[in-house]
Amino acid sequence: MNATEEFDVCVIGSGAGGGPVAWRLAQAGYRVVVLEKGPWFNEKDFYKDELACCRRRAYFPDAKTEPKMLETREDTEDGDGSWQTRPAHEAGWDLWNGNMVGGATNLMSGHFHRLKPVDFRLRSTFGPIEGANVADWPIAYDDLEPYYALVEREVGISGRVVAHPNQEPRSTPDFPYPPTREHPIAGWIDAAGKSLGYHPIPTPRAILSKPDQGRGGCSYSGYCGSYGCATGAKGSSRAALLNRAVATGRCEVRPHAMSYRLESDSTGKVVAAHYFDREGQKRQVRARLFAVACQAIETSRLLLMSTGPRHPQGLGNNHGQVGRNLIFAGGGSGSGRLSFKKFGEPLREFGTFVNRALQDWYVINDRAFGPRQKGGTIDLVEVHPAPIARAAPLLKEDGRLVWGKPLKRNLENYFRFGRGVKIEAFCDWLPHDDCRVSLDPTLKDKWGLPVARLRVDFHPKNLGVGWYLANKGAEVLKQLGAEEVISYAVGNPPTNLQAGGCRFGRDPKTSVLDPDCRAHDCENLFVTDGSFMPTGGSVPHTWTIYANAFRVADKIMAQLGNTPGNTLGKSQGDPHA
Amino acid sequence: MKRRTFLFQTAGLAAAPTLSLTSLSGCGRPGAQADLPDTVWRTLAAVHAHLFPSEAKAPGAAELDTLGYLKAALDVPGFDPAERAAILRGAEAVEAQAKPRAFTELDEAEREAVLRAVEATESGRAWLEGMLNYLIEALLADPVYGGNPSGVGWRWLDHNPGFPRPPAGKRWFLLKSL
Ligand SMILES: Cc1cc2nc3c(=O)[nH]c(=O)nc-3n(C[C@H](O)[C@H](O)[C@H](O)COP(=O)(O)OP(=O)(O)OC[C@H]3O[C@@H](n4cnc5c(N)ncnc54)[C@H](O)[C@@H]3O)c2cc1C
Ligand code: SF4
Repeated sequence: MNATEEFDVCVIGSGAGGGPVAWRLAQAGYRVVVLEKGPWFNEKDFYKDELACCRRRAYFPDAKTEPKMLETREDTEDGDGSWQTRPAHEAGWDLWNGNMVGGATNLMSGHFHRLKPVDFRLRSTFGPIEGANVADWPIAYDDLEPYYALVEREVGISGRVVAHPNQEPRSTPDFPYPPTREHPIAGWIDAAGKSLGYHPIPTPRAILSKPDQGRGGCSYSGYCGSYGCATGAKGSSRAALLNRAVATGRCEVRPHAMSYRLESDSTGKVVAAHYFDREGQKRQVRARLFAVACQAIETSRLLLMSTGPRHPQGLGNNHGQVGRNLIFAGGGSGSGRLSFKKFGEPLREFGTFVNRALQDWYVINDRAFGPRQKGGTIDLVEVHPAPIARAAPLLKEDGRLVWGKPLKRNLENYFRFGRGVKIEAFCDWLPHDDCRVSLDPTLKDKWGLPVARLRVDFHPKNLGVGWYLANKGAEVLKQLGAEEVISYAVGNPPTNLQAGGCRFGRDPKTSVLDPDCRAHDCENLFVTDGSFMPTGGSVPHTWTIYANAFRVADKIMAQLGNTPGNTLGKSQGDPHA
Repeated sequence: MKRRTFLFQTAGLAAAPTLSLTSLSGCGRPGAQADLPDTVWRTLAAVHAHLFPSEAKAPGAAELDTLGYLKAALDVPGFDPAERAAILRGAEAVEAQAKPRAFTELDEAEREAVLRAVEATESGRAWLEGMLNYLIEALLADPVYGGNPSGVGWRWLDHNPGFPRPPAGKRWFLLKSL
């Protein structure tokens, strides 16, 4: 057994948080190993197969042998129901989002937004919120801006800058790749939004609109989110970063490597990552420095499992902060239907994107709604075409099963009617004490490891802002002539948009990581996924996760110092070198 | 502030909902792959034909080969033996409800009455819901899984399946073992 090996950096988890670190360090000449619990799929393993992606979950762990424990409040009409505890899959939740090299970024739909300067100063701008642990970030937008710009080039973001009242500052005038092709619905949204005095903007996408970096351009395959990409156009950590890291010859990716403990020595430093390989054998890898990026819930779990002489409660947890202030993306939702009858042939166009967003209410200044406060983003997207998922709700009506000719007529009416547009409204998921990760005292996974136990509740303010935003989205859909427009706020978290749990800050008593995302109490341990975020912004998180991981990669290099064999700028894997 | 939440809405951003029943996920312990008895298949064929009847302008269970689809699903390595047993029990419950006659001998109205009676029990309802889920999978999943021959279901509903489509060597259970 190769019990010990030396690398400069060991990255655990290969998604949005892991990829940038592996790529930047390998590019700069460091020796990197990436441990990833899932298999190494590539473009030849991704098809438009709803059974594989969604109903049989081929790209996910088995929820029964790798469960999570879930505590939620009973759903009652009028407030605080009592806490209920059961395995998450029994409650119909799957909190795994992609178990493979590249993680969930293989499956994301890649609607990308930056945070805005106000997101870094929420508490000082709007003051504290009762029942929520809102904190300012220890860095400013200007610290992250160069890395947002870097992600546009390195991961590949397609878009077009359009002036609007809440446009964040940019160091470059426009995106490096032109926007992905748009469905005619996009133009109709522009007209409807503008007639209401709003500012619809093209949503940037982490998708190459033309071939580059050895990756194909988007083929407009018709199914993007939840499905892997067969062309390499989608900006997954795998296609965009890890492939290049491996091509340098200095980065080794180990699939099927489930890390279960980071071993620390008597000085408190991490010396080895222990993992189970595919055959269930225990292995370990030694490195000078460790970067954890297992996605928020699993990152907290790994740190809590990693006790050591100087870390009796787990790594980074000497003040009991690991797992606290888990966040998701808060918000509202809704939809409307456009009929072929009314909108004619153009509506039938297949594969192109709706790609529209409104950020007019990123800060809500509406007396009728209350004092000036943080609002959010409204994304307008195509209703996902996955046919079985769309047909399934038609099997029930008023509590009875529907079958026979009535079911067949419902299917015809639904599928042949037209196209759906979905409202996805994002507000801050306010961090609070009842949204956190711990280790379950009894439930174990297939390796005998304690599983993550999640306590999840939402802050009531999320619902207010969620309703406000979703209703604005509905107003636009009605204006453009959509039928059956509905909008509502959502208290349940979107399980695919996780962050927090190891927030960064200056005070070790209230945060896990320092402003560089280094653990306060462990100098060679960094956390580089979305766990660092004290608040999530009113957008989906992934652009920020990528950008911060690139920022932290620079901090890691500064800490490691110059390495022999540093070939920065000469590596064969870097087409930009 | 009302706590009323929307349980069907748990994944954001143009993600495809995953409404699969856990009991149909086919990921249980490897079990006996023995086929179901012929009598059971005859009952299931009649149930499918009733749940999704053939019509001149719209394919039914026969044209969609929903039984072929179900057989292929049962043959997937590792198919949950508990699920297999539940399918068998459901078919038996239908025959018990039809007694003293056989379900296959009943006319349409009688079949409807029997299945509605089965629906009235908790286990019967779960079974029927499972059958309907297999039916819409046979209708709308890729033909590589044994139903929807040459995309007849897609054509009927003007549905565009997107591309690339899965080859036999990359079906979901083969991907899982990569
Ligand atoms: C269907 C879908 C649509 C989405 N759409 C969008 C979108 O439009 N916009 C957006 O901004 N975001 C979107 N997201 C979210 C986005 O994918 C995530 O924010 C992002 O991938 C999170 O990065 P991460 O590094 O935290 O986790 P991941 O990218 O999931 O990477 C974590 C990796 O760690 C591995 N791992 C976990 N535990 C261990 C362990 N113990 N040992 C070894 N490896 C381990 C996992 O297998 C995984 O590969 C979407 C997600 C999904 C699923
Ligand atoms: S080809 Fe385009 S639409 Fe298809 S999965 Fe890739 S990025 Fe998405």
